[in-house]
Amino acid sequence: MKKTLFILLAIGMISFFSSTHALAMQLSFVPSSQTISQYGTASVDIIATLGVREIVAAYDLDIAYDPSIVTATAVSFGSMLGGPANSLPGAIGTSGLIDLWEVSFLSDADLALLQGAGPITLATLFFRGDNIGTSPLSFINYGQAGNDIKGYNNIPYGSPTLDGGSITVSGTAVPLPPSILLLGFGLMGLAGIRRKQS
Amino acid sequence: MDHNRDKWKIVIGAIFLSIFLIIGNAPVQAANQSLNVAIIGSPTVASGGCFPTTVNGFTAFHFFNVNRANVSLANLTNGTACGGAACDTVLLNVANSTGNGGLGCNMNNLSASAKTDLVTFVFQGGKLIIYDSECSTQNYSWLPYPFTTANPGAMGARGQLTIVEDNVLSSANPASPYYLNELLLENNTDAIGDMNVMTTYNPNWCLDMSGTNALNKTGPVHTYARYGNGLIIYNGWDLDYETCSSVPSTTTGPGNLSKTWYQELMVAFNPTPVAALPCGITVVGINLLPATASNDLGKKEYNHTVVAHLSDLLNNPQQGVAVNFTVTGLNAGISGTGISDANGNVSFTYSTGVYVKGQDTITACFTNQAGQQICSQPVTKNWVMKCDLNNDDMINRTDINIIMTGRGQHLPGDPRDIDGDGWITVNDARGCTLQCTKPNCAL
Repeated sequence: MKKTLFILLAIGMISFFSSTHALAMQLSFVPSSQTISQYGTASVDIIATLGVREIVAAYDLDIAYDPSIVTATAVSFGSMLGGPANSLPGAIGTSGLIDLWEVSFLSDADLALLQGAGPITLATLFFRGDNIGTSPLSFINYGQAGNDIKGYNNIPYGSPTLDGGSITVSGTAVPLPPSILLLGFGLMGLAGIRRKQS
Repeated sequence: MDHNRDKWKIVIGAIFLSIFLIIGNAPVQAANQSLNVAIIGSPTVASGGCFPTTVNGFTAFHFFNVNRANVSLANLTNGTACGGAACDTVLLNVANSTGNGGLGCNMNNLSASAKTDLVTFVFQGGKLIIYDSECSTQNYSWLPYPFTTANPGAMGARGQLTIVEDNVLSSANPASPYYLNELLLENNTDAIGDMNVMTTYNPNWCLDMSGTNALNKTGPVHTYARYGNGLIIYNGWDLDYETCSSVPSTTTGPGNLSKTWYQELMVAFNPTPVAALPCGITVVGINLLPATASNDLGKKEYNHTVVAHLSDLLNNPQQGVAVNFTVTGLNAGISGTGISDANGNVSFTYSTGVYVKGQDTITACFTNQAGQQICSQPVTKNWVMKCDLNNDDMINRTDINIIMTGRGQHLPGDPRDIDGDGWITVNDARGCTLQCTKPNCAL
């Protein structure tokens, strides 16, 4: 009886851990929300939180934002897939969508050493605040047309947790620095002198 | 200027003429079955019997009697022989009388050029059906897969028939649309007792039916072979019981003879899928499988196994036969031996010693009781490296870059779609990085 209970318990634990292992991958925007001023810049890290014995060997992600609020201006890739020397990254930006990918040239074992227990930064996105409002950030199209994350043996993570994020562009006017004001007055003065001479 | 225009007219005309000649010189296969059938001589069999051509079941075909003197590739393909259309099938009715323009049971009555043209006709996609009912021994050495026959002659005797392979030409399964009633053929006709059996050492002949004739000679009586884009069928039955009005049926002896003729006309010229005519058993008794296979060297698939199957003409497995395997091509020089087991099988596994792309050809041979070496059809092994997209026998960053140039595109069949899902994705790229020749996919 005890032996049966033990076996059942063991099976239950194995099932529990195997299922949690499959669901452990989590993608997040960090910070998940932030406020910037109009024409200000926001940077957002894409963070992968790894479960036990998990790696990110390659990824292809679609990130959506509201182009009427912010504009994506740049992408900086992390080094956890091998960096410029040992990975092939790329990004394409269209209005409201960033198509982001990276393939590591490192072996699974080397990636495991490099990434450790994580979390790891896949990339950092840069946005400019164009108009007042809040732009949501979200991972879209996951699992479609090759959009996913590859782990050990090139096996994709089927259904990772995909957290959303946001960028708020506030309406507070940004005060001009006094030096700019002085420069303005100087230019106005020069213009006046020139007019008087002519 | 006008002179130049005339020159262009001549060039364009020549192009059209070339296209016309190219099209005109190939058998036309409007349907995936016989349609325009040239019968060398006529449908009658001199010693008794007739090929039905006008009764139910045969009205969809167009039959044309062609004198043996008029057999040529040009006549078969330019509409002369088949009423304005290109012939797609030729019935070589060897037993038709010479008075009808037939061969009179003598293949020598067909000119050498006609024989050559018939072979070309098949190669280009035509179908050749050979019947030599009750004729004396015939020499078919002019065929690409030569054979001779053993003939009991007209004895009116009964024999025993075995449908060896279920296919679209015949089946022993009553539920199959291709069913033929063996018992009725054996007992209600003399087709089997008086049949001619094929003798050949050519491994390209595939066994459909075997039988034992009145001479107690057991051998292949209904066989087929693919050649080029076409098909050759040999039928050694006696047709005494088949009349010009025999309707295809499984309930009478003549009906079964007629149904066999019908199914020979219905079979495709180069049947696909292969399962339609799988060539599961060859006439020579040794089959080697798989016929073709690919190993991906990038996945470290360095071993290949083939299995030779030995059987007699009734498809009984032959145990204890020594078989030699020989590899030519990329791994030329590798060989092996084995003894067939109770299932008639001998397997042979070898490893590629050369880690580059290429092809091997493997043949299995045994020595028969007469001391003759009998060999299987050669089979091929392709050693590939799918991720080596720039064909330098290496997998490295260059190949990964080539894949990633197509990322996100739906291009089924594109060589960059390594996983075959129709999309070029990071999955293809990462899959190949795991196969890189050097660490870190270095160049």
